[in-house]
Amino acid sequence: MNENHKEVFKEEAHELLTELETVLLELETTPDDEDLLGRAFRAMHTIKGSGAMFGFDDVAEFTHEIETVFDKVRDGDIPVTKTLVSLTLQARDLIKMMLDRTGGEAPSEPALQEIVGAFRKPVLVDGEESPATPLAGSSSSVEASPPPPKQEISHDAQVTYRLRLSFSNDIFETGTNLLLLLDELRTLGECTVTADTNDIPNLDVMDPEYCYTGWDAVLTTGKGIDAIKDVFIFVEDRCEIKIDAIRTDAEEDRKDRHSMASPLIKSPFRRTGLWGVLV
Amino acid sequence: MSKRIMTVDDSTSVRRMVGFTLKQAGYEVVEATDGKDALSKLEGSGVHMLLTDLNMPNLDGIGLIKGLRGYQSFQFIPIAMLTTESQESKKLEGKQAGATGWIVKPFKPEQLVAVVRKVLG
Repeated sequence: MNENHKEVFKEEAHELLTELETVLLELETTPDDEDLLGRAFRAMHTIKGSGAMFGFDDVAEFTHEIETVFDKVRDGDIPVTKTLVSLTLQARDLIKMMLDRTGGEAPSEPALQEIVGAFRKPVLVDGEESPATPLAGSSSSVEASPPPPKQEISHDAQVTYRLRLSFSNDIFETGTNLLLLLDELRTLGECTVTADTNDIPNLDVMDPEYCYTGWDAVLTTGKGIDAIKDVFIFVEDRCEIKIDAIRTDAEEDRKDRHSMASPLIKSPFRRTGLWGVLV
Repeated sequence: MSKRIMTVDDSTSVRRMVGFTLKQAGYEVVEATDGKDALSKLEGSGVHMLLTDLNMPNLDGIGLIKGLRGYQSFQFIPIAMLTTESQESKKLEGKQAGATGWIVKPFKPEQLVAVVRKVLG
């Protein structure tokens, strides 16, 4: 990553932190102001997103905790309280210290954890025992719920899938390049793709702007079926995709991968003629 | 003639990085700070592809995509969402609005170029 881009990010982040401080102070008097809430959320959202882009992973992770709570505040699920404003101002100071750590004091891990712990509490109360006290003018009375635990999903297990892909004839009208989708599919694992050219009509009746080709694929991947579906999510209205998990033993699968794909081919054509044009 | 790409993001640092990366890769770049700014700059700009953030002031990414798809001239322009939101709901929301695909932040410059090359060549 270009060092100059990092400096641009730091400068931007400082401006956003100044904006955040201003907004938080204004929220103390007008806690229901949607514009202010949106600005506070966007400041943290940008610091988080851009921070991760430019290698400030600690800033991104820490800010994510605060942003998560403010997302709920923005939705009206958590009220703006004095405690929330105070905690967010403390978090803002810590983010500033993290950004400046090369030239100054870095925040201690316990200090960061203390703030993160406070933001993860079920209720952001204005005192240990009291219920949440919304600031004057706030109409929200819903208590905060803790952020959902991060789901650790393992997709390590290698599974072999057979995919049958058929697209509507007019799919090219959307500008979709199906071959790029097949390339993306190949990035998921070991993949064999075979064209089904059986529906290609004779030249005298063929519309050159129509898609007549379907594809069959055998894919071995550890990334799960959702990752496969994601590849085609933007064309799913114009295609039929059948995905079957056919084997979980990748080693055995590789031995006869070709033999599984071959029976799907109904046409004698291979990478010649129109197939070459489509490729 | 090099292809022209518009990058829409309220983050100056992301806009700069995306612009720098795409220019290095041989593309022309037009920058916009939010959806409203993008709409004002798009007409007659000759843009071939759009990369847009989702969460922006004035007009967000979803609003921008919906707006663009309403114009005949931008009905089929490739639009990729540049976003930190990797949740399925955001993808579906973008798709329903008319997005072509998405790139999840953080991404590396070479990943960005790879995606753009796939679309524009």
